[in-house]
Amino acid sequence: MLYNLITYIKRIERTDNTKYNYEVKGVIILQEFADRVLSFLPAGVVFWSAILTTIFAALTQMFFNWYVKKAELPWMREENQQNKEKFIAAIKQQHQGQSEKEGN
Amino acid sequence: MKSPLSYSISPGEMCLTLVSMIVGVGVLTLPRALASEINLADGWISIILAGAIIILFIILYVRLQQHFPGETLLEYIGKGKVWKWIARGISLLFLIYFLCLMAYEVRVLALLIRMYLLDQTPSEVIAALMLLCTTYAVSKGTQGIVHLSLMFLPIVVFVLLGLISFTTIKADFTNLLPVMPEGVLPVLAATKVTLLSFLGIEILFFLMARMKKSEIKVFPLITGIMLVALLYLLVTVVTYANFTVDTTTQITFPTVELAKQLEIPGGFFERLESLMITVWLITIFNTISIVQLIFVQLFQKSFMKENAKANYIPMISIFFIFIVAFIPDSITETFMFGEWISWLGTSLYVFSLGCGYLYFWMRKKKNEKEEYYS
Repeated sequence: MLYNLITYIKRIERTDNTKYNYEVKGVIILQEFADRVLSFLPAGVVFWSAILTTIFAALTQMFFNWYVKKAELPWMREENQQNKEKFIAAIKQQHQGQSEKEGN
Repeated sequence: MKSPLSYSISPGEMCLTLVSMIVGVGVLTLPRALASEINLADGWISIILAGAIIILFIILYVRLQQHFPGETLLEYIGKGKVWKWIARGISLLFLIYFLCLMAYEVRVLALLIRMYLLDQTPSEVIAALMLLCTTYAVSKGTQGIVHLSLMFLPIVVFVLLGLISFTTIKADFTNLLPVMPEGVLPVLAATKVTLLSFLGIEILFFLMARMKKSEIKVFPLITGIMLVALLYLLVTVVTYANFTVDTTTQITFPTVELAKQLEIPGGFFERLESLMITVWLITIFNTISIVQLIFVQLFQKSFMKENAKANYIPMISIFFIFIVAFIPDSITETFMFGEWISWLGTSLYVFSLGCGYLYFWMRKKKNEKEEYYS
């Protein structure tokens, strides 16, 4: 069926005697089909804008991620901040324990 | 600095985020939608009624959320064997809903800006810029978005209250009379329209998981809904008092037209509608960024593996939002699209809440049985 369709598209019919009007019937059928099924989709400019915006956003994020990785100092890392908080909490507990002993 | 991992939303933050989410495009078109629905000035009564219904919905949900702190509704439902698939189905519907909601907001924004601010700029450029901004905001996570809402909401409320107070000078409040000339039924019919304007409460399903158990309270959320209802009420009343109901039905964005009427005594400032639209941009930005954040998080949790990278979901979502936003051909089609989305949102809210209660009840029964036999 696909072969038939392709050959049908390839076959160019001369429909007018005075001027050559190239009509590809298969293409017309496909166009009609596309118009019926996909006509709700917006114009081409919207597609291109969408694609360009997506690419721009992706590139920006890639650059941003790379830059953040390069500029990140050890203390800025998530795990180091958590370790810092744990460390501070442990020291506080130690101090509290010491002051309680001294009080007793 | 608080680590983003340990960040939990406080009740006040949740309240303001909810208000930021609800007050989106709705307030710009609500007076017209109400006037067109019943052709009477009784729309303000339906706002009070709808506010009460929404408060009831919120009370119901918060009661349920108190049983599973730290989890979203869909995570809670998804624990059962069969329920897992139901939760996935609801997640998919929510994803479609959020995508369409973002697209609708972007499209209305593009229309609004072309109409009143930048008439030479293509809509695609406006939409692209807005989506790039929201995507950047989403990269800052829940904490960033919540804090943006906290920062912007006072400005928006201040400008809206300023607009209302200055336009009351020329208002003729006899336009609101007689009250309920055709009885209660038109008011009830208009409640349907107003309920749709309160849509946005579904973010509670997702963001309340970030709250501590002791902080899951109804009162702050009710305060937020009352604030939104008050703003809607004032805008509607002042619009009818300025333009009459018949004229309001003919205006696309009555609230912006109201800003055009604004005259500051002394005549120092003119064309204040530009300022109003600029401020309104912030509101729409807020709404879109909250929805996009939830969209990304929901997609990641429901359809991706735990360790998979989700950095590029916001970018990919831009493409689909863009395409969906420009499917409606005209303003009329856009507003019809908005109505469909609102119905989808309302149905999803009610259905998910119903599922939540059903699952909770079934689990309770099962636990009771197990306790009885043991």
